[in-house]
Amino acid sequence: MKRVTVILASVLVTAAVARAQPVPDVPIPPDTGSGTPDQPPGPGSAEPAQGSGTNAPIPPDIGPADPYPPPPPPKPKKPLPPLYMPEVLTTPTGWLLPAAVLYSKTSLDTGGGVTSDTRVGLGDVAEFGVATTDAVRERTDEVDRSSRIQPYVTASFRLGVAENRLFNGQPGVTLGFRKSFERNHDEFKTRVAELTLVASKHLGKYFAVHVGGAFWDASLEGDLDGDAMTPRTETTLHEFDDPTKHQIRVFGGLEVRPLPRSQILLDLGWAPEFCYSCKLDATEIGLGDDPDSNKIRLKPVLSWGVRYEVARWMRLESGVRLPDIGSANLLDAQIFGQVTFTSWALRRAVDSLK
Amino acid sequence: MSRVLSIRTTGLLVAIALGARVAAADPTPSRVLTAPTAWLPPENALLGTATMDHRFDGSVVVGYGLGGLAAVELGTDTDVRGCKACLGDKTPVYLGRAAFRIGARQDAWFPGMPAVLAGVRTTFASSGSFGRARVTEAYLVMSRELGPLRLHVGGSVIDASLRDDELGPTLQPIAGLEWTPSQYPKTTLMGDFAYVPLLEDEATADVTLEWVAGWGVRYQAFPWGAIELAVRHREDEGLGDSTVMVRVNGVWDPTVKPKIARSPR
Repeated sequence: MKRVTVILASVLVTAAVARAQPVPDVPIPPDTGSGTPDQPPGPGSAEPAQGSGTNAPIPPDIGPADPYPPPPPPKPKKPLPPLYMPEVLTTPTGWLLPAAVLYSKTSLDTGGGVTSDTRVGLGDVAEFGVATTDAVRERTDEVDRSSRIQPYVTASFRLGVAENRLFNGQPGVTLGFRKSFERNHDEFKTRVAELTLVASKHLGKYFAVHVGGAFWDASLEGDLDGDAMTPRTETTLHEFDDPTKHQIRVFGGLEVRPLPRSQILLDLGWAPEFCYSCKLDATEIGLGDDPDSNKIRLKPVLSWGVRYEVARWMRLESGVRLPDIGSANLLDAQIFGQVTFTSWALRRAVDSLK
Repeated sequence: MSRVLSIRTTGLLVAIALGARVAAADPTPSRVLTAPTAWLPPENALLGTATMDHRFDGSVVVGYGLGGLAAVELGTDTDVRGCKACLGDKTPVYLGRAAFRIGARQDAWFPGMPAVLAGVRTTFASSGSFGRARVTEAYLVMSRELGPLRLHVGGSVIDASLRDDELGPTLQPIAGLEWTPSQYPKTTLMGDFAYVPLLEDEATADVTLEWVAGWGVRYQAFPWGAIELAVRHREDEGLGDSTVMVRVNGVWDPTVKPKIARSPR
């Protein structure tokens, strides 16, 4: 009797356990809708019929949620717009840095000049920068050899319209203003300012041309007559007669890309030169000329060289600069090398906030 | 008859020039000995040249191939000489110099075209009492491989100053010749001719030009390096005063991958 009880209990427990197991996998026929096989489901038959008994579809077997789901695929990066340099070698171009793009250029030459230029693009329509330049030169008198005043710190702001923005074939146009901080050197105080309007245009895939005009101003303050008895005086470029002759200059440049990552560059610009003791003598002076008008002069600067794009963020440039091509003095030629870094990091950070 | 021969000879030379074997890439030395060549280093290649002569004077120049279009060089050399009393006391003047060279390779624009190069070399430092010496040269030179020969022809505008004296831009020819005999493909005989300034630092400074002629042998010991033994003669210099020098050239081209020997399976 006891043995029968044990056998019954075992059978009941086994049956209970077997009943608690899920049904074995049964192949589920494909869902053909609620219609008969001969009739396709109608528009209103998408919802399963409630209480239709065996015709109700079996819900899919949804497993437990994965606690470590794979990361979503990264968003495809927007292709970066082309970046055209804001300067040829020494002269500005009609191209602006794209919005939030950082630009830094450091230059070294055989004349002992060290310069830097840092800029940031503002909203695809403007650009702000702070730079040191070694282009401003000084000399004591006419026979003295000119030397550079450095560092000469300038701030610049440029605004403009990108190439082909307003209409097809439109050149890139920028209006720029560059102004120096006051510089004290050899007991003379000097300042320069430059307003430029420049247009740049690509001519096919391999050429680009830049043409612009500059309106210069500069001031020189100190003991200009060399007489310590008289007080310091100031002379400025805009005080001289005939501003067209003294203040307005045309500049330009060319770019040729014979190789995909290399460009040949050529430009002609202008730079002020201060001559502390220069004075027009009686034979040179014309009607209405200021005798001090040769204390501040603009000298033509010719540069040529090569730009090599080492990486998307780095460019190497080297070439030759003639600080005063008007005097055709080969000895003043300078070999320069410069490295330019550009960064899209700020642009990406700004884009990620949108 | 002689005119016909001359035309034939010219035609033959032109045919040789056009049909000459052209190397896959131009050679790299930027100078024969003193005269510049029109060869440009490959993109991103680094060049190095060091010279030592029997007076223990020498030069060190490093270069970089910029974008396949140009090259920049930086270094010091003793090509220029100076003197104080100028009675046989001419000594080499160490000048720190930088050069920028831009040009086109052989056959770049049309078949048979020589390599063409324009360069500027200028001083950024000078030594001793010649501390205010400045020397600048701008040159245009063409180079071409004609079978076993390499010809270099061009012109150089030289200007130099010492204290208050200035030479003024002066145009002078430059020429060079290299011959690599087919029996000795690693050996090259060289000769060149150029002008360099002479700085006379007497009571009144004076700057003139003197010619320099050099000849020697280059042995291309490795694909990346060569050693040269050369002699250099200068104007107003006796044969006994000629300079004997050893020069080594090296080039590191990152685009050339080193060959790895594989064992046969």
